[in-house]
Amino acid sequence: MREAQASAVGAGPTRARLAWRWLRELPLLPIAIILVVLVIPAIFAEYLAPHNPYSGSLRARLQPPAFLGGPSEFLLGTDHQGRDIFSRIIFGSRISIAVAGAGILIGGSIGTTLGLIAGYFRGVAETIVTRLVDLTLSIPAILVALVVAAAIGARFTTVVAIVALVLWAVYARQVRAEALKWAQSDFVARARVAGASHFRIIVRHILPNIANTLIVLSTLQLGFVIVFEGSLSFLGVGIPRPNPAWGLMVADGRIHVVSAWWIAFFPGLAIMLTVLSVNMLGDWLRDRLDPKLTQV
Amino acid sequence: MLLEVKDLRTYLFTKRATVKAVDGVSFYLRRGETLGIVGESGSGKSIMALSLLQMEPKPAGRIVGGEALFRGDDLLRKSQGEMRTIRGRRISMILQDPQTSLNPVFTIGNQLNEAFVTGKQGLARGGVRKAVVDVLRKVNIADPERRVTAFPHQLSGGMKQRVVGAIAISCSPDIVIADEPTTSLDLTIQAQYLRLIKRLQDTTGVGVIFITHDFGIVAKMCDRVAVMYAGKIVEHGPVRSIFNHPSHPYTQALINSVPKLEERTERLYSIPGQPPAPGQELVGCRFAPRCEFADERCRQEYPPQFEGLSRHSEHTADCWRLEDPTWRPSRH
Amino acid sequence: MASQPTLRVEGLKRHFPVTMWRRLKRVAAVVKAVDGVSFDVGEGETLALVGESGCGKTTTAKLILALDTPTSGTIRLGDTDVQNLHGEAYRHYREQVQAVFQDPWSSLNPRMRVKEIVSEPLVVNRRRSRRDIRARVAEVLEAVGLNPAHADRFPHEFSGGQRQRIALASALSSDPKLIILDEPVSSLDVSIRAQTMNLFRDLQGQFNVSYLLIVHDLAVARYMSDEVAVMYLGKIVEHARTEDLFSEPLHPYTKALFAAALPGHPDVEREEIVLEGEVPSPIDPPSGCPFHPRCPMKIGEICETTVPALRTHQGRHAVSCHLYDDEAAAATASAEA
Repeated sequence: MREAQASAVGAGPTRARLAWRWLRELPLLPIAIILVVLVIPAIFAEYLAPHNPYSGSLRARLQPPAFLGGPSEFLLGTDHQGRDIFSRIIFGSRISIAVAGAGILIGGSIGTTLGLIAGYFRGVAETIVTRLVDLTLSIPAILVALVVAAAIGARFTTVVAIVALVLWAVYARQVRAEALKWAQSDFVARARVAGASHFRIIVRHILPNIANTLIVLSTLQLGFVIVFEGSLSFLGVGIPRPNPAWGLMVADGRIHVVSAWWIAFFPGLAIMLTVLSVNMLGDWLRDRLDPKLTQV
Repeated sequence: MLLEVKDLRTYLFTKRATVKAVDGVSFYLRRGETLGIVGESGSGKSIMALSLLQMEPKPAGRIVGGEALFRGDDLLRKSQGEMRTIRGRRISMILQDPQTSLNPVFTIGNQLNEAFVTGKQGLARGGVRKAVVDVLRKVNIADPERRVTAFPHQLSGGMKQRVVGAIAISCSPDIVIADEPTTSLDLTIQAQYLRLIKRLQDTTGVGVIFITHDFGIVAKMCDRVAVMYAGKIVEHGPVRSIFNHPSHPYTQALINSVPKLEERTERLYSIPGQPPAPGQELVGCRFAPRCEFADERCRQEYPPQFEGLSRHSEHTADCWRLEDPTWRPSRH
Repeated sequence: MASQPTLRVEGLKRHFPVTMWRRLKRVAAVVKAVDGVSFDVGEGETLALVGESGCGKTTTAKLILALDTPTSGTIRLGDTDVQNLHGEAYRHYREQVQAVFQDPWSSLNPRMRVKEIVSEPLVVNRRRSRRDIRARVAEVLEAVGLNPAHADRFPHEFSGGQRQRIALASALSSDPKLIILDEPVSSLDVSIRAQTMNLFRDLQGQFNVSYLLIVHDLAVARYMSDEVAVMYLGKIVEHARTEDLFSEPLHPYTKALFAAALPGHPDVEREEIVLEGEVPSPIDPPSGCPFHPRCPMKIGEICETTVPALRTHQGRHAVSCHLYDDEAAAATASAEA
């Protein structure tokens, strides 16, 4: 019978063509900026930086950038301790990536787990998690950071812990809403009818469907974390000196902003470019990964 | 002739493909008549209806050709400003889902007021109020004086759809386009609603275009029917003529593949295959890949329209098979 | 039926406690979604549960699928009582009862491959070798008319009708005794419905499986089922073999449903039964017969005060309506005499 020979619709484009389509539509400018400002410097800092980022010569302090008449060896000028700003920005990208990466990984994992539990099981778990989320999001993060830093001192781990503390709630709230939606879908009902355990349903059915959300959320949070780390450093409760964190550099340049504006300006520019392009990438990913938009 | 649509074409331009959603559709509607447009999802019937009001889905959708003469005036050439004076007043629409057709934050009285105020000038405040209550009574809403203050969520689905109907007829339009208005309603509520539409039509003489996938609704409601498949009207004719002598294989298959309530069906005729996917390149007769009578020519060349089928001047169909007079159904 | 039924449901009730606010006061109320429903589904047979939205047919399906727990009543599959299943018995039940849902777009996980979807009832319940699973997936895909070579594809590569076939293949993979079909064709295109219904019917014989069909379309019920039960406000009001019910509907509600059904031809003239109003809220169901406020054939006070029992009429056609009380009484009397 002919009806039995129903074949798949339109025999869809091949995998290679789909991959090519993806590549062609990549947002090249944001990706280029992220690579140039963040990723490449972080990986090759030792080779790219012309000077030692931690120490400088006081004789060479407050030199303007090379293109503004300063000595040719300091591309973006020097700070009040005579350290090369260009080199410090290059090494600073490592700190940004490390803080953002560790903070998002830890905060995201905790938040996702709690969000899944709350959204899938509902009941008491949901009440507790949503209350905790509300509580966390209602406390000004900077204030917590100040208190924590005052109590146990500013360290890399402290900064990461504070970032995770703020982030988990963002993840938990978003994941809970998504899990709630998928938990009521027919395919989850079918999985239950088939006898799948709660664990299997969460891991095999719900988690893969919120993976896109997690990816998009993480890119968007990346920008937030870099700014947040900058603010912490600026307030003196972030990465301790003499580490070349971008926020810290802005803070240090503050008192010289009239006489030597470049000290604060270039790390600030690095923050701005990174955050802007990461957010653009996040927006693009969100549009791209939304199944409703890719269907047609 | 109230409305005459000639060779209407609306294409959807997406990144990947151009979808000929409405691919040269012609039909007409007389005063007080009900025309059924039957088709499956993706046949282009809804986009066709929206195009008449220049409401094709933007930005992908664009009317690329044809004309729609409403009392001799081409609707497709009108500006958006002119269309605003036609939509809702001269031609109104009832959509499938009453849930989204009504704004949840306004009372139904507000929403009807708006229809009256934007539709007709020169009604005094008290006059509008009275008109609102009157129109609600017309659509069989019990206790309309009290209902005007109700919010949409306080009404059942059937009642909401009747309010949508009330808004549609509030300015006594010439044409009401009803796009699957009963698919979200229960059987007995659907029956009530269809009866209501029929009665309103009898009393006001409004022309109705009924867009549906259900031949049962056509049988119950329509005077004439046009069958759409993949953007084209493949068969058209008076409803009895179509039911008694379906001439296009698609129409025949559709009618034969619906189970009957009245009699026991041993085995339903089943149409093989799937409707074409949107954007699929189409040559020849759109139905040929699923048609048991199709030959090489059907797959290569779109068939001409054959007229005067079943000895009825209005009955037409696009099918090569009708070239052979023995295939043409005749009334006896 | 001589043999033991595949599924036996007795006195099934599901009441949901709800709280409502009335004049700023909190009131506890109960929604009687399913209120004392009993039926059998015979081996290899199809029972259609017919009714409008809110009649309790979907809740009944959920209870049988053990997605929800009944307030009271029993569900038995063969010899097993569904209440408190554990371990091996639970796994067995999960293999024996499957479902196909209405919307094939939301009932298949978009992130899973067809082979994973189809084999899920197999892999979650017991250990099987990969080769067995692959063979079974190919077998059921072939049975539903899909190319087994497409098992590596994702659901979005298929059309609605094909997706419903995938759902059926998945339901059949663990060789179940009962499949619940919840409005299985109502979201499909008209030209796809017939092939899908024919497929369901063909595979029923081939796999010797019983169907419980949840449906609102009477014509579909007639085509697909051996037996029909009509539900209204959580109760079965009429229950008979399909041909008996369609040749002579007894309950006024069933008659009204028939009258409201769309005709298959413009010349079909139906008895005009105007049902006024809408289905009452199950929170506050009417006293006596639940249908009496809308019933065009109401006899009198008895309809408002006494709940009619579901009684057998002419030996095979069960109906709960006071119209047939006399007949039932006469039958009892003659039996006694």
